[in-house]
Amino acid sequence: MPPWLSGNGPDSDVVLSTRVRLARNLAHHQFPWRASLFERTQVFEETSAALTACAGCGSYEAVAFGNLDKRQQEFLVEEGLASRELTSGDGDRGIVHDRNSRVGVMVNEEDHLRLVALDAGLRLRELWAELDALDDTVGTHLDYAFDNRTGFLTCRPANAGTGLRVSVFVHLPGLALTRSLDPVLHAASQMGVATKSFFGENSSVTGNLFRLSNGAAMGSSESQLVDNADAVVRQVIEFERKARERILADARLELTDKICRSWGILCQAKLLTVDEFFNLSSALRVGIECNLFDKCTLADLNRLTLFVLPAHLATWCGKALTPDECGEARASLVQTFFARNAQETKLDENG
Amino acid sequence: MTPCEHCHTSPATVHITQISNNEATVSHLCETCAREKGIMVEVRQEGLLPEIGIDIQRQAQAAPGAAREDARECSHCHTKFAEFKATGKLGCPRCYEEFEKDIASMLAQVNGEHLHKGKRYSRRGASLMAGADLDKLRRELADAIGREEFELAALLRDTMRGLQAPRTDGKN
Repeated sequence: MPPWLSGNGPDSDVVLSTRVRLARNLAHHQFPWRASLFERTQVFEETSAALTACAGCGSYEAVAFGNLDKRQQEFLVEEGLASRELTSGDGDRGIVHDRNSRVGVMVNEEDHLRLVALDAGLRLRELWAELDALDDTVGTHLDYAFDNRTGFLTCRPANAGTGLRVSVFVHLPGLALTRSLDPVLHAASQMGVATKSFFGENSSVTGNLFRLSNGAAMGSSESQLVDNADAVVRQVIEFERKARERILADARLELTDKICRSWGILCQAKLLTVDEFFNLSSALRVGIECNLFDKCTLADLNRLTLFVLPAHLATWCGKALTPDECGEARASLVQTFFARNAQETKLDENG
Repeated sequence: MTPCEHCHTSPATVHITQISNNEATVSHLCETCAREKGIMVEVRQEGLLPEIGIDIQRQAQAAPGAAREDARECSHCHTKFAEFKATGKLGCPRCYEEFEKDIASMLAQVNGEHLHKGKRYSRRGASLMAGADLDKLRRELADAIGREEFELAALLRDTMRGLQAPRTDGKN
């Protein structure tokens, strides 16, 4: 289980995880989409060798995407270790990551290197410091494309400059239920923090999960970008907590009813879509976060959040699934998981 | 000229390309409707905010000889300006020099800035490299002062100081 799903980071009542990414390219190579297969192989070998050899990088493992089938690639995307862009490319590409999947580098994605750090809870400054140090070390082994005026040069100019993108994944049911999402997220955007739905597949919001990210990558130092995002996210967290307090004061019974109904459906449904699971589990999540529900933990829900996704589900079933089979398998997986959880709790109670 | 998608009367002069999940969607608006809509800060029904749009089409269309502009290509990787307009992707680091003016104005539009104020980089471990960097920086500093770009000049001066100072903390 990747550490970003442990459910025990700072401010974990609202924040699921934090992700920090730096885009870097090699000075003397064309960007991956333009480079020949031969040039991409050169970049892959150069960067993999630098990353696995450089002192201070700890113990890293390289995973070549060319050696993985589609489901294995999707599995890594769902785990947060790879991006969808990496699965759609061809030629030599892949990821190099540390043993506990906290820090990694995607090679030959949109840019030659995408350094990524991901962990549970709100940890922007901590993860930035870690990635900054890794960037310094890797930068001594490779020749980055850098210009004094424009900064780090990236395939898309919108990423140029710092190449920094910080994202915080948040659960905002309180703001959604009190219909305060738009003004709060609008205010966040005015302060340079943009919002997307959590899984980024389409524009619809699922499970009240959102991704808050810095808009600009240029014009401020990395520390200023991180500090600004941190300050804005903390304000969003405070608004969410106040909204929850208001709901608990005004509509505690209605909220508890919503939580119990969601639990009932999850335990009894015969077919479940991903969206349905996220929406129902959002109610359980807010129940746990507000101490109204204790039949499972945030870590349990986070595990399920991953397990219900297509590649994980197919891996659990040991075969490729049709969309209809997916719905049935997902409902079965969720109920098996909760049943096993209840059994383990009972055993623990009996010593 | 395409009519505005919003009022359907005035000609569309603002073309916004929003890139999301590598898919580009283009909106065509007149300036009044674009301003009314707030463009960069509009909140959609679902409470989501649009990603940063890249509006380079407007400049290219407004300029005379747009076709000639589009046909320009990077002398190193041969990526055409039209390809960059269509995909938002450059072909190689040298494209930044080849399409310098277009990119600078695009960056100013997207970030409100086109100067990098973050980390400085020079590959360390090779003293010759540092010498070469300093020469390059001196030339860039003189150019920046000549163009009266004093903010850039200050950044370059700081970078030179960093390179000249003995490294005690392993940082640039």
